[in-house]
Amino acid sequence: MTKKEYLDKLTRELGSMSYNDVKEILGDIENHFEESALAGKTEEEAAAMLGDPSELAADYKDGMTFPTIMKKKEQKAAKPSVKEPTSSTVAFVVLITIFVAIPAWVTLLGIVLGILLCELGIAAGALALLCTCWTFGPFLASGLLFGLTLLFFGIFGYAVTYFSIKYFVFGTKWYINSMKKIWKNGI
Amino acid sequence: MNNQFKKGVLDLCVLTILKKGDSYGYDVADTLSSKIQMSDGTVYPILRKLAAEGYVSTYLQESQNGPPRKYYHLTELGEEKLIRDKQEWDEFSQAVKGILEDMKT
Repeated sequence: MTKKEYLDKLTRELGSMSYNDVKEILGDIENHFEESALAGKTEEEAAAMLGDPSELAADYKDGMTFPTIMKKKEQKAAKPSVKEPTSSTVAFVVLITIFVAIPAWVTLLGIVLGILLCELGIAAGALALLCTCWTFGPFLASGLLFGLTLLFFGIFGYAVTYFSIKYFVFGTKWYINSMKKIWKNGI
Repeated sequence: MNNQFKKGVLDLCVLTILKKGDSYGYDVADTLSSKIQMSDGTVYPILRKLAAEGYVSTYLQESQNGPPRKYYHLTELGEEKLIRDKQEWDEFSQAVKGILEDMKT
């Protein structure tokens, strides 16, 4: 049985449980598959070692008798909800974002757009030159050479554009994630 | 070995493993299934039940190359349960052993 088949079967067998319970259980078992893979086991081996999914589902249901469900609810209610960020964390994130991140982001965006426009210009120039150089007569050879040089420059420019856009998006995502982490866990 | 036999004492085994130190599902399953013939899956409902009853608490910790691991930690309530259950088990297993040996002779 593959991981997907196993999880599908387990989901069906857990049927009557709440959405949140099923989601948590599937997460645990999915992690088990991933850990097994890291330990060098195939999905089939991991599934076989986990045992019959219907038995596993039955075990889960046995453990969730009515009183435990009630207790869990009480515990949840007693627990304070998500930790509020401290004022210094808020100040840090807000200040960095306004005074460093946003100006830097706008500048970088400008540079990326500039590179993109240059690239389009070079490509257009090269194409135009190559198309019209047949009319140059005696300057045909030098026109052709210049056109080809421009074209290769254009191809090189594509690579630069591609990577600058890629790292720009990557950097933006990284920044947002790290700020989220700081927001949640403090500085 | 008979499944119903095991189920009762696996809770105790899991608590004992966690007494040694916090651990995550795969590790607990691996430790137990290397010593007792059982399915890896069996420990997950047990851990979930122990967490629901407040005997263990959970927290997430990043791992180097795999998914974040859900670690289980024995709570004070869990330590008390471990002491109680262990004593009960010791008395029970001694009694069973005594009976079985009586029958032999």
